Amino acid sequence: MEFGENRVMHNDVGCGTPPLQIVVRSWNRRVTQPKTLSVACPHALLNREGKRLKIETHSLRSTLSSLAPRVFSSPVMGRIRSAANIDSFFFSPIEELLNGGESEDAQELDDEWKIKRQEEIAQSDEQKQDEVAKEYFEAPKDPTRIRVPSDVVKMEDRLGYILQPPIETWLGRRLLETPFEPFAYQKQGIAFLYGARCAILADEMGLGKTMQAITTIRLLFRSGECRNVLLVCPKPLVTNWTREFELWAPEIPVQVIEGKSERRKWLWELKRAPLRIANYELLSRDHEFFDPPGGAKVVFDLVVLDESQRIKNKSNATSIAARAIPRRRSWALTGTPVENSAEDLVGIFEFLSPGYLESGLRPSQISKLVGDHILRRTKDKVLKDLPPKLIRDARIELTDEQYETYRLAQEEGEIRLNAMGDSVTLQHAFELILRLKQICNYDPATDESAKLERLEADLEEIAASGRKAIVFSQWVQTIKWLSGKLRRFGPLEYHGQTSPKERDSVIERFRSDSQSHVILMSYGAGSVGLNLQFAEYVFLFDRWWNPAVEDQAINRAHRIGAAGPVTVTRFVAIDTIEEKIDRILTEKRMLSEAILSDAKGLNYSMGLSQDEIFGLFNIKAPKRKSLDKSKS
Amino acid sequence: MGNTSDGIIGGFLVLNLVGRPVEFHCTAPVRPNRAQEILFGSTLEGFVCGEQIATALVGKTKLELAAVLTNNPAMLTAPSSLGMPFALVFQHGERNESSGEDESEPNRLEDDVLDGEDSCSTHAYVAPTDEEDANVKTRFYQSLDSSPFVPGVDYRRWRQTSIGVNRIALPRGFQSDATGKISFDECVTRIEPFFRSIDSVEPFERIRLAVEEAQRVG
Repeated sequence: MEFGENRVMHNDVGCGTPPLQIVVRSWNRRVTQPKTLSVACPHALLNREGKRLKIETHSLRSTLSSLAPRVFSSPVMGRIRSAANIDSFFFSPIEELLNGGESEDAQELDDEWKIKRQEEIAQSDEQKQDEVAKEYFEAPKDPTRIRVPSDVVKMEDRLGYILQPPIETWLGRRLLETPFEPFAYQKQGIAFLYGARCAILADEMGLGKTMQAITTIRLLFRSGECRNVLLVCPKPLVTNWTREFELWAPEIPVQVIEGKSERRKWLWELKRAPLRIANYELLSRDHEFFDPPGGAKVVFDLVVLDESQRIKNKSNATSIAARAIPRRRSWALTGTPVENSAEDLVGIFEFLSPGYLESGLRPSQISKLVGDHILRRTKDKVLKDLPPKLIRDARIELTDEQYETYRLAQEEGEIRLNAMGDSVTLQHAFELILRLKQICNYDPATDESAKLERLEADLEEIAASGRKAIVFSQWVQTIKWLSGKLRRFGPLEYHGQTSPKERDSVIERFRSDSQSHVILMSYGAGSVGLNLQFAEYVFLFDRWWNPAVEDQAINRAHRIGAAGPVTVTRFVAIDTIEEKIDRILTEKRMLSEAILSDAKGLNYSMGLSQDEIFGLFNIKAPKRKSLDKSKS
Repeated sequence: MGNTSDGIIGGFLVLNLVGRPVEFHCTAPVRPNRAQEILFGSTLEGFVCGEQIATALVGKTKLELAAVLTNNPAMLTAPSSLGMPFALVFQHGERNESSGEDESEPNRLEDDVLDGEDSCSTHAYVAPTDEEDANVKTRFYQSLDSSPFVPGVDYRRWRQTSIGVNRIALPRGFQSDATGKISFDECVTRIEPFFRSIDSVEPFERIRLAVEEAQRVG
């Protein structure tokens, strides 16, 4: 019998012949672990020179038909047949026999086999037991059980949750395939979301809210509790979510709601689309499609709002539209459930469970009410192994010419504000702040920039070591200016003027191009949802108004998967308005940590108040300007 | 569930092959009356668990069951008229963790000693002495509620084998009017796929939690 260039010989030397080990591997989707069948074959296969053959094939059918039936004894055939879902397999003599195969003496081979057999028998029982046990599911000692929501009171429903298998059983090898083993806290997150009718998953950025939500959605699909899910996220994150679904739930078809009005209407009204992704910008425009006057055609089993701080303001159009989506379950995902004040939570709960929270409740009351519906973990509590985040403040002294420009602009601005008397508004103050901050970045008159000098020095070192950095600024103008100055580092731009189509390719290029050492991002476009773990340096070229947004930006790099420590450099120009803002924000950052770990202080604003803004210029806040328009 | 102050409570959870719950039943606390205590004597627990509770619970389901797994040896007295084999499940870990010393198994005999079968991993129970019983209970079955050696259970009719990390005791042969004769190997074949996808001991914890919840809610 010819088998490739080798002739297969049936060396019939009786019952003492060396066995062949037949290894059957299965790579189908349901079984992730290779399945191995080891069987003793009564005949040896030799090639023309008498050497043992290592035969590989990728077709079960052809192999079986091309080999003599007696090579595979009937019990072996039976076992192979029983593995009906096997895609491919190969078989080979056991390794030691391959080495010994040079001997042409069958008896010698036989002796070697006997020695090997004795060695095998001498293996400890414990080792054998472990090998066998690998084929079977082994539950952890402390399984993660589905959490029974506190608002479920019917005994039958409560038992329905209690009797569900633990998350580890779901994630066992046969039930739910995942590309990576979830962390224990992620399993707890899944157990929390699974039963929740209304919930906020408020883990700190980078802890894997996306994965937890997707895996729970998979479980709900598998258990038949969901057939129709809508996910809403900011527009730039749609492709990110699509990619994450491909990774974590490849079996779920994803339909992105986009295109012209007619197409979107059709997509909204589709009855058999398991998972749809829409963006916030569309919600108010498509309100009539998902909530028509005659009644909704599709009621979603679950609606998930990513970056749900987008609906914190109850009265904005997006929030109103989100609340109108017909649904049975509502989840919100956000790393910053409280950005400005406790009112943010009221806004989010208006979507989750309308009327559950009211404005004006005391922090202790809010804390008590929301406790069962919010799950928040921070990196320092759950990710002990995450590389450290090193934050350093680079206090920059402006160049003489730059500082002179700054001083003149400030004096002129303050004189103008003072002259306006009670007619001065926050808008006027903001204009001056923005102008001064821009001068801190670079002097438009002389093109001088102390920050740039420092950044270039750091980037030289980063580029020389082959590493990558992210630079954040709040202005596209600054980003474009920086891009021109940093050409030798292969800068890439990612901001509001980068088209959605370009954004993915920019990120991909930054990831893969060894010549691109820096990406310049705006806080608005780049601070949420992106995974840039491969960047080890983050520069905040200028500071955002709100520490939560800065944290979001930093966590693009400092998240699960980060290979090494992430160094964050926050530029602050000394003796300028930046220093004053930094001092206020530092105090607020400390308070915000207290807010999220304890509901006491939920009413504390994290943005700048009106008094604080005017206080930056030693100007008293005008009377009757009570409206706090502080940026958040 | 074992004994509570009000009596013995039984829980019965029907799972599909991937471990999802299909049906759940539990009993109110069952307390034998004085006459039963006198009549059944040391075999009372077997009577209450195997005949009263198991019969009531298993009889509730309309589903076709592959086998019934229990962590209570007293359930092994369940009558064959129920139409399916009962199997006692426990984990290797319980044995190894509870004993840091000699792991020999003085209360077992190799199958071939008893019936001449050749098996290196299969053992049979023999009734232990009182002293051995206490010793074995401590060492092997600390986490189980009941003694594995329940008066009234003929352990010679059972064989033990390993499936994954678990050990399991199954009837050597099972005969019922409904199913006919089922061999030991067939019993193993019936439950073995279940062990591949879930941990077979874990569902007992679910039953415990559910019964507690049912009692709490009333």
